[in-house]
Amino acid sequence: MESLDYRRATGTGQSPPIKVFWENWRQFYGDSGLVNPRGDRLLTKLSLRALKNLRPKLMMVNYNDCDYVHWGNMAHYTRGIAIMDAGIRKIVAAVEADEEYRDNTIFVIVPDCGQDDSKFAAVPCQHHFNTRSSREIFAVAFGAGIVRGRVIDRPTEQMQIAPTIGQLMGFATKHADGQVLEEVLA
Amino acid sequence: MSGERTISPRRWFVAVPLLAWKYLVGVLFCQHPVTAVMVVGWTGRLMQRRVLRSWWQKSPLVGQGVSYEQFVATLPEAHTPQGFPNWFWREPRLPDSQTPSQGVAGWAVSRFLHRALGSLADNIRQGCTGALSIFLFTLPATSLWLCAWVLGWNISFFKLYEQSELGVSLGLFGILLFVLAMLYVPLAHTRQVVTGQWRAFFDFRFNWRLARCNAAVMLPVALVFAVLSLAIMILRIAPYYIGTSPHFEGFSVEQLRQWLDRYHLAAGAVLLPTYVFVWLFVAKAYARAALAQYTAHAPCPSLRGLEREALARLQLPPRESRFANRPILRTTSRTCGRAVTLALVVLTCLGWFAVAAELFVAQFFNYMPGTAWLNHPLVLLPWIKDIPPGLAP
Repeated sequence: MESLDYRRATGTGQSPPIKVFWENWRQFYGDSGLVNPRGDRLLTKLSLRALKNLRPKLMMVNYNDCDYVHWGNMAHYTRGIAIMDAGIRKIVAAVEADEEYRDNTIFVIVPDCGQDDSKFAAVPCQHHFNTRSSREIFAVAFGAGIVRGRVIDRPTEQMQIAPTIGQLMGFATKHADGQVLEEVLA
Repeated sequence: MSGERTISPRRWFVAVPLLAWKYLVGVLFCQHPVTAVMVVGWTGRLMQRRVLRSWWQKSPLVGQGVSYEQFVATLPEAHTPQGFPNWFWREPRLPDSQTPSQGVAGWAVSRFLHRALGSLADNIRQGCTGALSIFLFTLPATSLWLCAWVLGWNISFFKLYEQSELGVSLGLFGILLFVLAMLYVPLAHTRQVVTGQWRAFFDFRFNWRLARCNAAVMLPVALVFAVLSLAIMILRIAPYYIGTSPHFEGFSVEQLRQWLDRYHLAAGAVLLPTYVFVWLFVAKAYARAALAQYTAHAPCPSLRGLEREALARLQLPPRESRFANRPILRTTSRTCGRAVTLALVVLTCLGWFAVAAELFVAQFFNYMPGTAWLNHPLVLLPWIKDIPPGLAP
């Protein structure tokens, strides 16, 4: 995958707007990492700031607090879900409040991973043993070209997300193996 | 040798089913922490027999035609069985201390209960005192492991990376405490079960000297624990991976629990002999160490109770120093001996470090909450059965 990354191939690195974005971030929060929010609250904060400053046409948020439960405290999993819920609410509210984004930008929000489905796990939040269920996740998608309010309640492949986004955005995803998730398209 | 008994085919006919019964009960007792305490006591009584028999075999009494049974009969406090101890019924050869002081009927009932549950009482008494001593000694280390684990995951979840060294440091400090404890605990526990005295476990100076002066026997003990606990840890983590099999699709909670019960019954069939083997190995090491200490420093006033009585009756000749009249050789031998002892202690520490490390690795492969940190199944209670909360009745 690294060989496909155009930034590595051309040596251009981050684009100027992204560089400015991070400079502003550092000016506000500093470099210590001790002042800014952490975990998924940080991702929500970054998303809201990106919405304000970068004006993206596609925003994909990969929440990962649930990833950090592993064999730890089971209550952390539901706490992680609650943090993710609150983050999605804030992002949706920000989008709804901004005329430019409404029906004009694609948002896809996913968690980092699923869970192993061992029947004999004391804390069923492990996902490092390459089971199928450890790759089964949910996804929230909304925005331009996406049907509103539809729930697809059946197992689909995680790798279907990339070609679906490509279809919505109008670019080819020749390196993606999955099929377009047709039910998402309006 | 007069002490060796020949067993007739008829006796085998009785002995084999009896042994199978004892094994089966032991396996069942390994299924719950409360009953596992009795396995500790039962094994302790077996260790006592192993030690006394080992001493008797090395004594001139054997050449004089004194059988093991005759030797044990001379010991005032010996409640040691001749073979594998019973779980419930008092062993027939053991003395009956009851006297008819409460009237004939009361005496008969009391005597019956004493016989019917005598071994059970001994197993519980030995098990409770033995397990509690080990628990007290290993608790500082194991509770630090538990804290390190909980703290580590909290740091990970809340991204408190500036505190990340705290979890690792607590874990390593706990391992250090465990290694130090395990340099002491095996011989101390064996002394406790042999003497039948709780205080023997806490004879710090003597127990430590026993371990320090017999570093050569402590290294194999640590290695045996390290190798066999690896097998037990594999048994402990296996259910998680077996549980990912499609075979279990559609199983109800009840069916899953039944499967897990059967698995742990089979695991107990391995755990019980492994636990008994490692502690009999320790008993043998203790027998050698105590004998060496006694022959070098007879009458050795630090010895206690049955230990002192038994060694005093063995008629063992005192051990002469090889270099008694050769000061240069004696000094050289002492210096080299210290270097070798140091090397053996370091290797023994590495062996115990491996035991602790295996537990950490096992927890990363299949986490069991709380009790798995506080109880190493070969050190404390021979029990690995843990029903996940989702399958609990």
